Amino acid sequence: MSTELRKDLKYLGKMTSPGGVYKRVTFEGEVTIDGDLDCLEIKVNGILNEKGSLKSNTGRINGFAVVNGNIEFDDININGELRVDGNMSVDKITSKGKLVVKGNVSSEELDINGELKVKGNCEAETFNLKGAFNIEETLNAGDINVNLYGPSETKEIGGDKIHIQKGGDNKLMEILSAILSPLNIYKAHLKADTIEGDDLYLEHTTAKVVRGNTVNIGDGCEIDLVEYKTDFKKTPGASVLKHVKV
Amino acid sequence: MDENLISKRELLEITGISYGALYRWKRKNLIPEEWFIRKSTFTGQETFFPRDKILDRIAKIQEMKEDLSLDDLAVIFSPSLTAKSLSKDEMVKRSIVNKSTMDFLVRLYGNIELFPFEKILYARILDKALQSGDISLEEGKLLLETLEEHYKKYEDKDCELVFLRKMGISTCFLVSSPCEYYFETGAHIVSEISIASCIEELKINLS
Repeated sequence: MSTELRKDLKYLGKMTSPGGVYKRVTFEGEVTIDGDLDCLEIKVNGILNEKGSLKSNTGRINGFAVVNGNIEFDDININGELRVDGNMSVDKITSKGKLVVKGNVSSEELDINGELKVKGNCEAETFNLKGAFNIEETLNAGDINVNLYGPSETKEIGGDKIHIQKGGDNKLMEILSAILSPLNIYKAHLKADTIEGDDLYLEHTTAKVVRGNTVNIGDGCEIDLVEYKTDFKKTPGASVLKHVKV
Repeated sequence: MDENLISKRELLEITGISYGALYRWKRKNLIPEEWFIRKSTFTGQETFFPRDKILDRIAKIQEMKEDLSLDDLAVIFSPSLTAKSLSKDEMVKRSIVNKSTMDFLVRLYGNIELFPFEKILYARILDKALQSGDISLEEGKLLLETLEEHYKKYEDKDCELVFLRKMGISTCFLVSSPCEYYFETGAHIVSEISIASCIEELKINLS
């Protein structure tokens, strides 16, 4: 629909709407949408319960939102929690809080402070995460930068540059302990079957196989097998059962 | 081990590409998800690929990525149909079909001014099968009918056309790819055509 025909939508309080096509959407309070919602801009302060799919250019969620369908944005900003039952396809995701996706995530840039849970695959050109993640299938990103603040797990990680380190920022730790369970914050550790990339640095990671051009294994790692092309380094505090140059 | 598969490690060795590039091409949909075949080995999970397909694809990417962006390449490799259409003279000129196949099509369909992409595709598949001498004109009709009726059901997924003959009686069908199939000994596979590679070829021809 052309931009001129779209109208603004604003709800305050507790409301239910059938959805539709709009320009600027503002929800304050507790809003339930029964159908798909297509807009250019959306702002949620409070609770959103979307029964269909959500599509917008930009969006900001302050509070809690559940989307039963898919999410398609250019840009989304989450402060609080977002749960998506379908797939999430958003160019730029910024999340402070919790993001849970039952389908796949495909994105250009992912910036997460807090927790990320994905049932399917997660793809991005840049993947920046401070907190904890659980991706049931594959994390595939060009540039992966993770600061671990909690137990994290995935099957496979692949990319150009993979940098996993234990988070050390105490200020952030305080904030994150509000999101993650306080017991878990001391279990900042990553578990994966395979990690493959060109340039790898790992800390506090347990993996069966790590493959790369340059592989640097830091403190707290337990790796069964490292296959490297050009360079392999390991601190005394790490355990690598076997390493081979291929 | 299945000799038609290639492990990821061997693939990178042969082609000289890096893990980063392989994962990037997968993200950009240059390599379909179905080609990543995960198997358990003694080191845990290992990924294998259909050997011929992946080697061919990577050679093409390496050759074309100088001139085209990864997104453009993704369009060429995707099995979805495009909106392009061609006149029948142009189809012959671009050697998508030869003159006699076109005459056959005209006899069958009547005089179509402009062929939409799906018809171009069917024509190309027919031409391939006829030119190889594997099937007769009468069987070509069967092939076209099968495509017309069923191909759309695959909705952008890769599939193969298989032509079978037993004691002079022929039949054909579509199967999703990759897929293994076996027949009784009396039946012979006359022709197997990968539709995705026909689409790819056409998209390069038309671009």
